[in-house]
Parts: sequence; structure tokens; C-alpha cells
Amino acid sequence: MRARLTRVGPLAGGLFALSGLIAVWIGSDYPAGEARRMGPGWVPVALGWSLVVLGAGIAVAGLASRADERLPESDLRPLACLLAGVAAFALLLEPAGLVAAILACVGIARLAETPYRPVETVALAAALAAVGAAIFVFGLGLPIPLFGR
Amino acid sequence: MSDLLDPLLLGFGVALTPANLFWCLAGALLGTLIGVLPGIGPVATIAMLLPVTFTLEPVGALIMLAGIYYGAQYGGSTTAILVNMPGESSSVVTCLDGHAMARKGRAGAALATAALASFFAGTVATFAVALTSPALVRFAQLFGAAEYFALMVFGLVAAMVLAHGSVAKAAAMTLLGLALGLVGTDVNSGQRRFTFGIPELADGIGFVPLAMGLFAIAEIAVQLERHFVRPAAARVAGLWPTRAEAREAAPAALRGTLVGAVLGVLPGGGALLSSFAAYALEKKLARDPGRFGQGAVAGVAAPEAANNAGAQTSFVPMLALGIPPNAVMALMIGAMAIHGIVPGPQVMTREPGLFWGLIASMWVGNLMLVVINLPLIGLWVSLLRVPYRLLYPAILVFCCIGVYGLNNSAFEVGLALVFGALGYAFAKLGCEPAPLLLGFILGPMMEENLRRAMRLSRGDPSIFVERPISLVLLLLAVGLLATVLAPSVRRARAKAFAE
Repeated sequence: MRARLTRVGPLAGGLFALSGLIAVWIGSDYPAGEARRMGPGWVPVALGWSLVVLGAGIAVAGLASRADERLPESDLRPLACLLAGVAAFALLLEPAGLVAAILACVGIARLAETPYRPVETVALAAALAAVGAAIFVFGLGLPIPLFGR
Repeated sequence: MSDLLDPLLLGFGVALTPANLFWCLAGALLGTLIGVLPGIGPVATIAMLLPVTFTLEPVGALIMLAGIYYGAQYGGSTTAILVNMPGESSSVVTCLDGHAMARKGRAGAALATAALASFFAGTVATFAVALTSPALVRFAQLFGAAEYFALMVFGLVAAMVLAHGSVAKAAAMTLLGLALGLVGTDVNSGQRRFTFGIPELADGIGFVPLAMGLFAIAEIAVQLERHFVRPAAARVAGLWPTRAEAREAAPAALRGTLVGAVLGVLPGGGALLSSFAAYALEKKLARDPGRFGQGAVAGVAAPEAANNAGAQTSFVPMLALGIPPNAVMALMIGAMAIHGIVPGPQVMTREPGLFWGLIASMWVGNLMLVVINLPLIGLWVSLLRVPYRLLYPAILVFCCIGVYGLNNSAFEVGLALVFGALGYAFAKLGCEPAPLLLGFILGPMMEENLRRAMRLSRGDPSIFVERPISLVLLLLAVGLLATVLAPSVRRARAKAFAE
């Protein structure tokens, strides 16, 4: 049974049903109104229930199906490095400026690749920082701090 | 005749000014570039460039963004033919016969066929857009809230049916998109919904961080996991097709153009679906279907014509109704909004220069693309030698700057991160992100029109079946769903997508 639960169908269906439940749960706090004058809660709750029903259907169909659709094998390292790079960019941009944000983002995102090539990474990060600053700050005049406030 | 000619002349007058020619060329070049490079598509590129358009005239901005979309259709075929890897998802089928031709030493002929078929399709599609948009604008005068709601229901159903993979998953993704679209302040009551007390969410989830997460960050993660080694590009010797090849390609390009022009208008349609459908049609019509996959010229000409025609006719619902049929058109609407233009049927009469200038620029852009692609092919091929490990950090950094630059909001960069993780999960679970995006865009418009229609009818839902246009649209939606659920169609659909 456990192997079946980690198939694509039940996982996807569960994700949809869960999002639907959240929509219903939170949406019930908003006034629903009536059909002639719908309040802000009417559509979210209706959508939420539809998601619950559809998600449950997908999950059940996946459990009952004979085809063995297992979750494809995943290597989460690239994803984690990319997301960490984006997070570093978001956190550093305003306090430390565009140059630092780009250097950190590239340095971290390149960890997704093995083997790590430090010299190439530094060169790439510096080049991207220069190009990014040239295009977006000097060229287009976007109000982005270069070196923090 | 002058009804069509005068506005087109006005359009060419706008499109041929030096500034707009420059933006058209810039868009076409950039589109070819990202088309050639796998792992970055027009959605991410256009989203990245939205802040750039702050400083441009609205016409120039839209001309450039449009050029990126159809330019990518040209560039995508180059990678497909030479390295057997689709530069764009819409050139997946071109790999089959295009690369087979390249292996036989006919790479040049395949490239020329693809470019010329695309140019022919682009020319026809430009006129199709010019002819049908004003007619649709006139038709849209009959639309009230009920009709708009029914139209969007039809659009979403069509998008579900036309999406790859399971219809149930596509439907769930659409609903999830609709729900995500509701996040933010309700315009009627001022109630904040699903904001979790975060003030930045009061204006709703931004379209750009959502698209960037789902289409750029998640895509890079999936690509990196594959550890692919890029195969060497085939040699290009001699560009011209033989007479026999040309004779086979011409009718295929014509059929592909028609298929693409029709399917492009449909929601969820556009370039991708058109190319698949055109290839399937050619295979069905061929006297000797066994040749497909072995280097049949028709298998290059038809899908390449279709994806370009589809890319262009998908502008029709966006321009005439203000309703985007796919993610790229939603971004175009976003670009209009940046410049204070409210999308909808009134754009044609209030902004004729923009409306017709954009249409005319498509033909100009297509002409430029033939010139860019054929003689400069060597340049594009050398771009393929840039390794992905240098490319992906660049894509990531420019995406981050693009998201931040739109609203100067670091929060939105964080939002893109969340949707990147979600997009990766969707990819693993076999859920296409395109229907979610469409639902997200249409969600607020649908709710608004539903509530307006129900207010007009005093709470009686029969308004949707009593008004004839609304009834027809809803019946079409039900019919579409019914046909997909019928077992015979289901098998045929599975087979069509398997190809």
C-alpha cells in the first residue's frame, strides 16, 4: 500500500485536494453573500470544493489503476542550489546592492554542477555583475542600488 | 478592400519608422537567440524584459515583445534540425524529420525549408490577423457579462482538452490557477483574500514572479538534473532544397499554415499545439507514412509553418477581446497595462496606430527573420557551443533582476522562488503548468463577470442559457468535454500526443 501511495496519481490528487481544502477553510471566513449579490467568499469556496472533488478523483483513480506510475527518480541538489541562489539574491539586493546579490546568486547556483569550478565561477559571476549593472542600472536607469544603501 | 488596405497602410506607416524598425529587429534577434538556446523560452524572456519596456513607447515595446515570440519559432527549428534537440517546445516535432534530413546531409535544405515555410505562414497569418480582428471587435460589441463569462469557460475547457497528458490533471491545474488568481483584495468588497496577513499580497500574486518560477527556475532545475551532454551540430552544406523537395514542401507548408492559423486562436493553442497537429495531419495524408521520421520534407515544412502561423494568430483574441489565449499573450496584456492601455475591443478604435502598427510589424519582422536566419546560420550554430553550465547562471540572474525591476520588490523575487519549487513538483507529478497560468490570468476576470451577470439576472443562473451567444459557447464547452471523455477520442488523443 505504501508503494501505491507514493505514485504520481495519489500524490498529485492529494496536492490538489489539500489546496482545495485550504481554499474552503480560509474562504469560509469571507462573507459568501447570495446568488444575486455574491460576496467575496462565494467563488473561493465553490472553487475549493471543486478542487477537493477533482483531487480526490485523481487520487482514487491513481490508487486503483494497474499501471505503475512511480514518481520519477529525483536529484534535489540542483533545485536546492538554484532556490538558495534566488533566496540569496532576494535577501542581499536591498541591503548590499546588485553587485553583491549577483555574485552570491551565481556562486551558490553554480553548486548545482559537479565538479565545482571556482575560477570559472568567479569569472562568470564578475562578468554577469558587470553586464547586469551595465544593462539595467546604467542602460535602462532602473532604480536598483549597485552597492547597497 | 480599402477597409483593409487603409488601416494596413496606417500600420506600415507606424511599423516602418526607424525606431520601430529597430525594436522589431531587436525582438527578432533576441527571439532567434532564445529560440536557438534550449532551456529558455519566450515566456521567461518576455517576463524578464517587461521592466525594460518602461522606457519605451508602447508601440515599440509591443513590437519588440511580439518579435521575441515569433522569432523564437524560427530559432527553435535551427536547434531541432542541427542537434536533434528542440530549442523551443514548439519545435519538438521538427526534430523527427529535420534531424533525419541533417543526418542525410540535407541540413541546409531542412533549414531553408523551415525558414521559408515559416515566412510563408507568417505572411498569411499577418493578413489573417488583420482581417479577423476587426470582425471580432464588431462581434464583441454584442458581449455582456454573461457572454464574457461563457467565453472564458469555453476557453478554459479548450485549454484543458488541448493540454498534454491527463485531462483531469489539466482541469485541476486550471482550478488551482483560478484560485491563485483570487489572492489579493476583492474589487467589489475590499475584502483581502488569502493574503495570510502579508501586506505585499494585497495587490495579488504578480504574474511575472509566477511565470518566472514555473517556466524559468523549474525548467533550469529539470534541465540540470538530466546532465545532458550536448551532441555535436550537423554540418551545413548548401542551403537550397532540390526541386523534388520543394514540390513536396509547398503544399505541406500551405496545410500547416491553415492548421496553425485556426488552432492559434484557440485558448491553450498557439505555437505548440499547432505544430503537433500539423505533423499528425501530414502523416495521415501522406501516401507513404513510413517516410516520416526518415527525413520527409513535409514533416519539416508543415509543423514549422504551423507554429509560426499559430504564434501570430494567437494575437487575435488578445487584440480584439482583451482575453489572452496563452501565457505570452497574457504578458503582452501586462505590457499594455504598464503603459496605461486597457485591453479590450476598444483598443482598435482608440489606439489604431498601436493596433495596426503591431500587426504590420509582424510581417516586417518575418521578413527580417528570413534574412537573419539563413545567411547568419553559422553564428547561431556557434552559440550552441556555449555550455549550459555558463548559460543557466546567466538566465537565473537576469530572471531575478527582471522580477525585482518590475516593482522594485524583493518580496516578488521570493515569490518566484516559491513558484519555482512548486513548478518542479508539478514537473515530477506530470502536471502541465500552462493551464494553471491561463486559469490564473482569467480568474479575476471570470469572477467579476460571473458576479456582474448574476447581479443583472437577480440571482437567476438561467441568464447563461437564455442569451444565445452565451448558450452556444457553453454548449461548445460541454461538447468538447464530452468528446474527450468518449473512449474512442481518448485513444486517438493519447496516440496523437504520443507522436
